[in-house]
Amino acid sequence: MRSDVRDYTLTAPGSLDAVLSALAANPRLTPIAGGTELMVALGVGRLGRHELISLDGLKELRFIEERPETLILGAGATFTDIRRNAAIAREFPLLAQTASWTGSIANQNRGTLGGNIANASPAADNPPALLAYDASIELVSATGRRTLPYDEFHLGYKKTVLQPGELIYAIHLPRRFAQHRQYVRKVGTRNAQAIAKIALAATALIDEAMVREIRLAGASLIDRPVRLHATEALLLGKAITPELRTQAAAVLASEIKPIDDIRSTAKYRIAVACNLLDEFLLSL
Amino acid sequence: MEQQTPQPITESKIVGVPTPRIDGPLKTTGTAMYSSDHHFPGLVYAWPVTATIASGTISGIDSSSAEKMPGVLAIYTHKNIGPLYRTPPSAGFSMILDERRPPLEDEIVRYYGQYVAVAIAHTVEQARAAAEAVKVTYNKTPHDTSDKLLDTPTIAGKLKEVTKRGDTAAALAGAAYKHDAVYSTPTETHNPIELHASVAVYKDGKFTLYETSQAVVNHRDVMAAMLGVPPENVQVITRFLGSGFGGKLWPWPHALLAAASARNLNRPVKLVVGRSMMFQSVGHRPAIDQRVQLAADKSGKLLAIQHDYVNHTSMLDDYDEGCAESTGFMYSCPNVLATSGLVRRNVGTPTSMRGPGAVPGLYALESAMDELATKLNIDPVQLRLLNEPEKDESTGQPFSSRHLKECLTVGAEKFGWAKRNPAVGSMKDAEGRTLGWGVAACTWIATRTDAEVNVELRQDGAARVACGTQDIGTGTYTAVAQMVAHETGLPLQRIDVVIGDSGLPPGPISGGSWATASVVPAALQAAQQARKQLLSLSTKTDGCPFKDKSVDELEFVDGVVRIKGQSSGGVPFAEILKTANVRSVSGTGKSTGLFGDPNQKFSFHSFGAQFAEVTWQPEIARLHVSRVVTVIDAGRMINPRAARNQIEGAVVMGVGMAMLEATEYDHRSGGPINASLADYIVAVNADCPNIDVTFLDYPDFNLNPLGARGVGEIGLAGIAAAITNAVHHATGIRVRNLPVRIEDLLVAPGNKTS
Repeated sequence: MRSDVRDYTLTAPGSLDAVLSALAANPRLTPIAGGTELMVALGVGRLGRHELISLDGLKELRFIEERPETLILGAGATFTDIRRNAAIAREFPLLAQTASWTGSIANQNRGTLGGNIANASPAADNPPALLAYDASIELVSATGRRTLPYDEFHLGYKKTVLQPGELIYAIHLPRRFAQHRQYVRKVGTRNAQAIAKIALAATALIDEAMVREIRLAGASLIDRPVRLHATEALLLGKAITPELRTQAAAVLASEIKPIDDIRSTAKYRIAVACNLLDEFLLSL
Repeated sequence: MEQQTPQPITESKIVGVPTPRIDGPLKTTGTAMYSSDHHFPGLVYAWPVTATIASGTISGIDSSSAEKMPGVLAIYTHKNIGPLYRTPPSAGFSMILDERRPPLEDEIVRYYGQYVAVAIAHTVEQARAAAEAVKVTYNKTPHDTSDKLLDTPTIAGKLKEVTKRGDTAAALAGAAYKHDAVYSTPTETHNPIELHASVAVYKDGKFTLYETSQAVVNHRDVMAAMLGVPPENVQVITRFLGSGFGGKLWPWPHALLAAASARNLNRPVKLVVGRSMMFQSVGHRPAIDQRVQLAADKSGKLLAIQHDYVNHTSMLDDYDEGCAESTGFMYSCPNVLATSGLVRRNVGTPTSMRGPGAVPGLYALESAMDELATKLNIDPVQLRLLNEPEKDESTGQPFSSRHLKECLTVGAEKFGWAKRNPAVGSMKDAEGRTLGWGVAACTWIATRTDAEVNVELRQDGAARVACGTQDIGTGTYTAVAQMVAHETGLPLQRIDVVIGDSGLPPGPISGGSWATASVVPAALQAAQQARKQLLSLSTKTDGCPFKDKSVDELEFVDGVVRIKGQSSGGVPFAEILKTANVRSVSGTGKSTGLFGDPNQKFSFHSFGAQFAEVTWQPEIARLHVSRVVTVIDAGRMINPRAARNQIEGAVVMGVGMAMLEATEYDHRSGGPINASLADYIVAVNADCPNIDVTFLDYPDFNLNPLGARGVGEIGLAGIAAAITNAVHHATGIRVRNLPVRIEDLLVAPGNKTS
C-alpha cells in the first residue's frame, strides 16, 4: 500500500547554506536528493511520517573537481555524471564500473553518490570501490566541516557517523592508483538491475613480487560496506604463494559475517567471497 | 461446412517477405491507443480492495470513513455491487473464462488478493486512498499454498489418463535402461508491461468496454452473460495490446468490477490493475510437479514413457495445465501412459501462459531424455533421431508436416555440436570458462479455428479488411495486410486493417499460436469475393471500358482491372467505383476451423530444436546463457521479420523460465511475496544470449493455402530443458527444480573443477 503523501512535508531552500541552516534549526529533517531510495519506500508504503528537505539541484553539491593530488566528487554528483567523467574512467575504473551497475539508467540520472553512501545499504554497489581507493569523506554542517577516512564512516547496519544537521559534502579520492592492480566483481541474480548477492573490490600495489599495498572491500559480506583489514594485514608485505592464498581465504571467511536472505545464502556468500579474493590474488 | 481443399499458393510478392510492422509508427510515436489510454468526459476511477487473508469469510466491511473521503462516489461490496451472473458452460471459443465466480459474489475469501470491494472516485489517487481506508475484518480459516503437489490429494482422487498405449508398467519393469525423476516448475507470472485494464462506458443499457483482451469476441460474450444483457448490448475493443502471453486471453474479475460500477453510476469508469495485483487475480502458470519414467533398450530405442503430472489450481476452478499434450506423439514408443492430476490451493485461478502444457511438459520430458542419453552413453541429438516416429502414434494419423529430424541436424550443424565433448565440465572457452552444451526438441500445436473476414475495396483507392481478431503485439495487423496485399496487389500503405473490436465479423482468439493460420483462408476468400464483385461491377458500369465484357475476360492485378494478360488499358479500381458512383465493393470470407475436429486427416504440429550454450564460472557460481541456436519448423512465415522477433522474445523468456522466474508465496499470509518487477526477476538485456534463429521453410498446405502455421509459442518450448541440460554438461549438477538457483551449483571447497 502506497504511503499517504499528506504524511510528509517537503522544503526546498535552494542553496546549501539555507539547507544547513534549516537542518540546524530542525534536526528532524530528512534530506532527499535523487529520491531513488525514499520514493521507492514511499511507493510501497514503507516510508514513515517524514519532514523532508530537498537537496535536489543544489549546485554546490553537484561537481567533480580535479586537483593535482585528489579528485573531489560532490555528494550531489549523479552516477551518470560519474560514468561520463573522463578522469574517473581513466584513474578510477572501479568506480566507473560500480556506477554503471547502480540501478537503471533512470536511477543513474537521479541517484547521487552522497545518497548512495548516506543510505548505507550493506549491499550498495559503490562503497566497496570507494573503500578500495582509500577515499576520504567530507561532511558539512552549519557549524563547520570535517573530513575523515571513508573507512570510518559506516558504524553498523544503516548506521553512520553523520550527526543531526550534518550532510555529506564530498568524497576525496587520492590520485595515486595508476600503478595499482585493480579488481571489482559483483555477483547478482541477473546481469543488470539486480541487488548484489555479494561484491568485492580490490586494489594492490605489487613491487618485486611483494604486496606493498592492498585494500579489499566488499558488499553484503557484513552489516555494512566494509574494508577487510584482517585479510589485508595477512597479505601485506608478502609474496602471493598458494599457501598464502589458502590462508587468506581462511582469514577472509572468519572476518565476514554474511546472512541468509531472499537474495542468497551465507554459505554461498562466504564461498564466493573467498573465490573472488582468490581470483584477484591469482591475477597479481 | 466441409473443409476447404486448399489451393496452395506458392508464389507471392509480399507473403514471406520480411516486412516492418504497419502499426510500428503508431507505437513509436505514442499515437497507438492502448485500452487504458481511453478517456471520456465524466470518467471516474476504480481501485479495488483486496483480501489480506487467503482463506476465510468477511465478517465486516466498514466503508463509512472511506465514503466521506474527498471525491469518493461509491464503495461497492458483495452487498451492493448489483447483479452479476455466472456464465453458462463454454462452447467452442465462447463463454470461456478461468475464474468463473463473479467478483464480490459472496463473503467467502479463497485466495490472498481476491477482490472484496471496490472504491470509485473522481481521481485515481482518491479512489486508491478510499480503497485503502476501507476496513475489512475476516474470520480466518487455515489456507494451503504449499508447492508440494505430487502425492498430495487430488480433486478427482485419482490421476486422469491423458494418453495411453501398450503396457507401460510391464515395459518399465522389464527394461534394461530406465530413468525415473520428478521435475518441478514454480508458479510463474506473465508480467506483460501493459497492466490489465478496463475502461467501461455505459449508456442507454449498452456497454462499450475498452479491455486488455487477447480475444474480444469471447470477452464480449462473457461480459454480456455476466452483466445479464444481450450480447448486442456489449462491444469490446482492444486496438492494441502491450502484450498478454496468455494472461489476457480470458476476462478477469476486474473487468466486471469496472463494468458493474459504470452501470451503477451511469458514467465511464477506468480500472487499471496494479502491478502487485497482477500477481494475484489475473492468472499465472501454476506450480507443477511432473514424474517422468523412461525405459529404453541398449541401442536407445524407447520402450516406455510414463508421464504423470500434477498442477495446482484454485479452490473453485479446475485449471489443467495439460503438460502431457505432446507426450503421446513426440517420439516413437510402443508403451506410453500420461496422467494428470489437479490439487487445490488457496491461490488465484491459474491460466494459460505462453505454451501452456507443452512448455513445462517438454521441460520435464526433454530433461528426462537428456538424462536417459547420459545413462545410455548416447549423444542426446542421436537419441532423439533414433526415436523419430513415422506417424502420430497416439492417433494413428500421419503428420501433416513434421521435420523434427531436420531441425535437429540443421541445429547441430549451426551450433557446432560435432565438437561437443560429452564429459562433464570438459569444455572451455577462450577465457578458460567452462562451457555446457545442451539440446532439446520441441513441438507446439498447429490448427485453425473459425474465422470470418470482410474485405472492402473503396472509392478512395484503399482496401479495408475487418476481422474480430486482435493484435497482441505479434504482428497480426501486418500479417493480415500482407494476405490482402497478396490477393489484391495493393501496396500495404493502401490497406486499412481493422481488428480488435467485437462488433467486427468474428475472428480467432490471439492464443494457441493459431490466429494467423486461422485468418488466412477467410481473408483470401474475402478478397477474392470483393474482386469478383469489382469485376462484375466493371462489366455493368456505363462509361467503364469493360462494360458488357464477360467477367471471365477480366483480371484484377496490382489494383488495376484489365483484360486478362494485357498490361495496357487497365483501369484503377477506384476509377471504376467513381464512374459507377459506388462507394465500395466488398466480400466476406468464412472458414470453419479444424480445432477439435475428430475427422481431421492429419496430425498438425510445429516442431523445433533448441541448442543452448551456458558459460559457467565455478569460482563465483556464475552462469550465463551465452548462445542459443533455434531451428523452427512452423510452416511458411508470412512475415519472417515479425516471426523472428517472436522466436527471439520466446528464447529470452525461456532464459527467464530456466534461470530467474518464480512467484514465491509467503505461506504465512498466503500472498505472493515478490509481487513487483524489482523482486520478480525477469531476464534483462544483459542476460540475453546470442540468438540464432532458423526457419525451415516447409509450407503446411494441409492447414491453409499459404501453408502458414504460427510461431507465438514454440520458441519457448524446450528452451528451459536445453539450458538445464547444458547446465548439467557444464557442472554435473542436474537441476530438476526451476529456476536454476546458482547457490545450488556452488562447488564445495576442495571439490573445484578448475
